[in-house]
Amino acid sequence: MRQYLLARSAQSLVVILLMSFVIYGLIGLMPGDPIDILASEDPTMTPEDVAALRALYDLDLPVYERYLNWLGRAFTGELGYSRLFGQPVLDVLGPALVSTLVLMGTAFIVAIAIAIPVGVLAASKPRSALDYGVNLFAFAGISLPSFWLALMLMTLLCVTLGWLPAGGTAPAGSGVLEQLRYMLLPVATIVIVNVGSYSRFVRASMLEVLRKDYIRTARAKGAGQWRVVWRHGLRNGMIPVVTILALEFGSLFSGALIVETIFSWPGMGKLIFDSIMGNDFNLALIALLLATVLTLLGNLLADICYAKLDPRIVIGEGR
Amino acid sequence: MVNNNSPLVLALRRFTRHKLAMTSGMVLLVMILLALCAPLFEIWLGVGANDVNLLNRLQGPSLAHPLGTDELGRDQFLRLLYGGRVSLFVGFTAAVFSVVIGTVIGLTAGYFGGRVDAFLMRMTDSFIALPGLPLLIVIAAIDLSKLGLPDAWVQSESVSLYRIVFIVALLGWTGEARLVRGAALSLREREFVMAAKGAGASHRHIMFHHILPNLLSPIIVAVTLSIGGVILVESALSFLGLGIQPPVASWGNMLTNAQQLIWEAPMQAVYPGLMIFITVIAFNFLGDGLQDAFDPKAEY
Repeated sequence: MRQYLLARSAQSLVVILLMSFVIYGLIGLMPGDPIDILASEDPTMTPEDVAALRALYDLDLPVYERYLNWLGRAFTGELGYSRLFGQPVLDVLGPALVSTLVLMGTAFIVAIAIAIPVGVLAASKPRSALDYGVNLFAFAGISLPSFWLALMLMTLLCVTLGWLPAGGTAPAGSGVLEQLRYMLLPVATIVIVNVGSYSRFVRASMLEVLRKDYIRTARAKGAGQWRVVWRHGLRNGMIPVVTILALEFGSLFSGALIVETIFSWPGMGKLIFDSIMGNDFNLALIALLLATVLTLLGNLLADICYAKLDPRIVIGEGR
Repeated sequence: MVNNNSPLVLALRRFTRHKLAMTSGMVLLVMILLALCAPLFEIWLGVGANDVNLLNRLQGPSLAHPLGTDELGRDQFLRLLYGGRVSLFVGFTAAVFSVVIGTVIGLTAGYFGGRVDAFLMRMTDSFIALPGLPLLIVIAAIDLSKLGLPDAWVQSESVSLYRIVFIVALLGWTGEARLVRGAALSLREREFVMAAKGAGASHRHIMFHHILPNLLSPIIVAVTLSIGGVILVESALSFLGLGIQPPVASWGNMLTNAQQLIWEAPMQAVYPGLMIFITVIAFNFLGDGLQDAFDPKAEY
């Protein structure tokens, strides 16, 4: 187990290093470059100034040399300033991470709180109306464009009925209730898109468990349906579910980019989008890297959860 | 009828019993026909899909404009048809490309096994672990002329179409690679592969003539299921202004302005999204039906 973890961590580290280079290279290929932007904002700059600035910021070097220089600075904690926000990159990232975590965490908990009971019920009565309903809803969820769903919810609840604000966050100092009103639509969008496939996943996992011998034993000993499903079944049925949860862990931080952008929720997803669109190279680079690191971490976590929850699984051997 | 119980006939019979999948197939057929006939509708209505008419902005449905007009006075119905062409084209081509990449990688990994397999699968795992949408956005936003591509080509209208196909295929092959690898891994131990080996067939011959034909049904299912996903990604990128570039219509970019117009013309946003939803869910049902038809043991 320990050896496996070490190997996996090493692998993740290699991927992170590779990705940092790829992302660095890609960002360099974005339209415009920082010096051009500076020059266009300041009419007094001469071409000589531009060349001097380019040399100052290493922009005349080939990409791998610039990358190595950047990497060296990054390791000493020097991540640069964000152009859009006029603040050090880390100061911008902190609040964005928090608000994404609030949004995604809430949506996630709500979706799971619905998906587990629904999925278990569907599995305990296969081919019932509920079972078909779950299936249908799951298909609808994976087929819905989230930006359209967001627009439709907005049209219905904000424009037509005027019940909810159409985006943003509550003004500072407003009460919890007011903040919840701003969260309702983005959370609802994310939940509607995900809850069907989560339920279907719980259902599939439970269906498998309920076919096992020990479930038949429990029934033979006279345990009621309720006890069999919720006590004996659920425990083992949850193992793959926890794995999926850990896999979603990364997206918890990189955020629902589209939903955040539409509802102007100031989280990581919107930050990544805005920094890419706004030529904010330093910020885009770090935000993307952070998203990559967290996603990889989530995958690692999923493997560990899997092994810890189910002693029958031995990872790191025979692979 | 000598052989009316061949696997294909059996699969076809199971498929036709799958009502949802059959209906989805019909819906898609109609949609493809409508999209192909878009120029005919242009002639019939007497306007072009990109004809701007600022005196006719945001009109409601009428005989001249069956679904009304958008903020530039363009006919919504015609733009939906042309958007369908784009979405379906991108969906098909990107799905086929990603499945081709996935199949080559999965087949190589599964057939050779050992170190080749370990390396390719670690690579696939790493690709799966990347944050998809943010990366897609970066790649979609890069300036192609900085890659040294000719300016005339970079500025042509169709470039955003090819670019999106390329981008989606680049990150979309991982699921197929795993699927094909798993199947190839079990097939390579089968007797007919041994026999081919014994007869002196080359690796390439075994891979493409003996193993690949046996993978055809899961590959067809994978293509069908991934078309829906591709259309969703394309429309999301186009919606964000990074996919298909106006004036070329796509279901995604028809929604770009919908948020600004939400107070003025809330109905604007309904149709393009509905088209995306119907198309994607139809492909998903179709894929599900095909899967059941080819592999009746799975599920239930």
